[in-house]
Amino acid sequence: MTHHHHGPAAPTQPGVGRVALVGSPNAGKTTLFNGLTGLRAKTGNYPGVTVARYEGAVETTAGPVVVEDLPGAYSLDPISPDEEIVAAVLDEADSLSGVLLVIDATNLRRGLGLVAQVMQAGLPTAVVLTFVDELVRRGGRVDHEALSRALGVNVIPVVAGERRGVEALREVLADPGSWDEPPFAPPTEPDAVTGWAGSVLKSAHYSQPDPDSRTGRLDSILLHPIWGTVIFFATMYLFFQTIFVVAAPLQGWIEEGFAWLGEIARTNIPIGWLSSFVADALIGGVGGVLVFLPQIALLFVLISLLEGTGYLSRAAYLMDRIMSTAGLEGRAFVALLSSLACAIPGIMATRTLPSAKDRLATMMAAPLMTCSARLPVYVLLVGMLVSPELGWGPFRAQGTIMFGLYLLGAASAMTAAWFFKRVIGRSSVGLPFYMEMPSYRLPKLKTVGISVWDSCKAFLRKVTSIILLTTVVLWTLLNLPVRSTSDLLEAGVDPSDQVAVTAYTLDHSAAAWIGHAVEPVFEPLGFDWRVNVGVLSSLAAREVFVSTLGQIASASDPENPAEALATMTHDSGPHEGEPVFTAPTIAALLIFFVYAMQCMATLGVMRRETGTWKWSLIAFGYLSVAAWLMALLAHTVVGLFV
Amino acid sequence: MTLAERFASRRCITAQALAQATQALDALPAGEASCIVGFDTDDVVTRRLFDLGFVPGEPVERLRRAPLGDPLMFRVGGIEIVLRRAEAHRILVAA
Repeated sequence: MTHHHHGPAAPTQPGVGRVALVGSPNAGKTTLFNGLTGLRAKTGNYPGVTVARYEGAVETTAGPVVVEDLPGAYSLDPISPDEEIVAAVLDEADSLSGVLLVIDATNLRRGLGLVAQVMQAGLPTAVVLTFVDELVRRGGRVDHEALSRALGVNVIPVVAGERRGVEALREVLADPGSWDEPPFAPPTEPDAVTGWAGSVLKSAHYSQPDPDSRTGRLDSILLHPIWGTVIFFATMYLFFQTIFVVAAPLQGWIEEGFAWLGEIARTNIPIGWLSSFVADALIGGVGGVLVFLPQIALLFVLISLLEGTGYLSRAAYLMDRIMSTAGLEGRAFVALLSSLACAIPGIMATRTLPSAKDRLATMMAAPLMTCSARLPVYVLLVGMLVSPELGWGPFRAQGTIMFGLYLLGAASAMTAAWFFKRVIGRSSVGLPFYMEMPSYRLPKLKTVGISVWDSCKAFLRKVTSIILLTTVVLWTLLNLPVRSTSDLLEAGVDPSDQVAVTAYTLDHSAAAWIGHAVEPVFEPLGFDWRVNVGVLSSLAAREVFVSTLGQIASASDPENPAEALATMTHDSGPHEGEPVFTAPTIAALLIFFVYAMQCMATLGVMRRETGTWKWSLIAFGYLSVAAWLMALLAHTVVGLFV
Repeated sequence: MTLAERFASRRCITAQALAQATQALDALPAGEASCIVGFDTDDVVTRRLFDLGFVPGEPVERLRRAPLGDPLMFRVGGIEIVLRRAEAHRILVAA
């Protein structure tokens, strides 16, 4: 007999109980999920849609039970892709053995609205009451046994950071089959549900908590019209200082480590091409990208700390008005902020946006934010453009140009979002903007740790797949076809002169042929064929540009590649003999990198998040055209001044 | 019938159903509290506001507004929630 699972909730293992976690955002659902499953959670995707799926096995006395963490939902009357998933999973009732409703005890009245809706599904149900400790601290109370009697289902109170509640929950999870099915379906019509919730609250001896005085005091400073704004900018400044300054020594160690490994490979592998392949393509390629790992890890530490404390919601509140100029909302700010490290987490962060239109517009804008992969390219090119000594007082020219590039990226992202918000289907109804402000809390280290671990794992997967593949292909293109001694003699090259041989191989390689073939496209921007090879290779990932130019430069002068790069001249065409890296060409390259969509991983994530290649293609198309036009503009304008 | 379809028939209380002096929530001065009466019309937006806790009969307090004038922050049903003026305008409170 074959089973066909149509809905999104196909069981992973037959015969194993399967329980869905349902709750509103901020109800403590993810903390509970992490507490139950730890690092054994698996991430996947719901078929056809753009929402990530988390599930993990929980060990109970009766064997493993699969727990699925459904996206946060305020209502089963869905208005966001996340909420649609929750409604769809609950509709697919026969694939679930039970529903675990996670309800914030400090806001029980609203929670009961969701309880009423979920009970309509008629599945075995249990309620987990979170933040009971906070309810009591703020002078509220609830009798969970009376609540259980009023609802007709089991109610388990849990206290953050205490194992007791989680252990009790584990016991309950052992046998979802024995859970009570709701004895009656509560009403969901507004008047009726209000009356029902009122009577349930009364039977549960519920008294609402006082407003959190600690949160009130903090908000009166952190959201103050003047101090709040100052603190916001100071936080953002510290955010970037930490990412770039604290990460620097860690990145230095990684660089040194890989340089050392490369040296070992070079000295110990006797076969010339093999040692070059291992040292340049494998070790150099992976190392050149792994240096970003400290930055990405730090970014996620900081973002999940800000999120865990509750400040990230405040930042979105403060930025909402500015984001609305681009037709977006405050939460899109968080997505664009994450894109400053990498567009991939930025695009994934758009999941919190309830409006599909906003999501697409933010996704189209995210690749324009200056991600950390652009940083090594900018550092290399800005370093060639102006000397570090140039500047006025504390303002260095290099730093100013870097800042300008970040600003240009952000302004372009806002413009792109504004544009796409206007052109994407006008038909959809205007969704309301709302955002709950969680109380300030101490972040859970486990949640921070899991978030950092997940993102680092995703990044390492990218390094070991896309980037490694590109560097290997590139190395092959740069070194093939292999020249025999007779070829070299015929061309007048001394086969014993290693430098001349590599230079000749490079100039007549497959990569050189491709670089020359695209010359008509990039000639107006001042790029020569070697720059073209770099630009084409960076289509896979931006940071590859640096290692490509490195491979090319060390081929022409292995002793001093930096010098070789700076003094590189056009070796053919109308500009023969003139230097390649003139100010207009460097400016054009910089601006090209501000706009160009050179990241296969980002295109892949867009495909995954939207469910179609259409948006990946649109992003690639409009950004390539923008990159070329803006680079031409930069080349022309800078050309007027030098 | 899916769950979502089952809820689609729900109705919110609107101004027509009421004969009471009201004002829009966005007109409530900062730091002041009032009681939610209903909504200007009944649609997907007001139904969501209802699900978020803007329930007729509940007290609501306007806490503050963002430095640039929008959005506004309210306290309702034990939570603090941010709405833009446009959405707050659709919620009616006792004048």
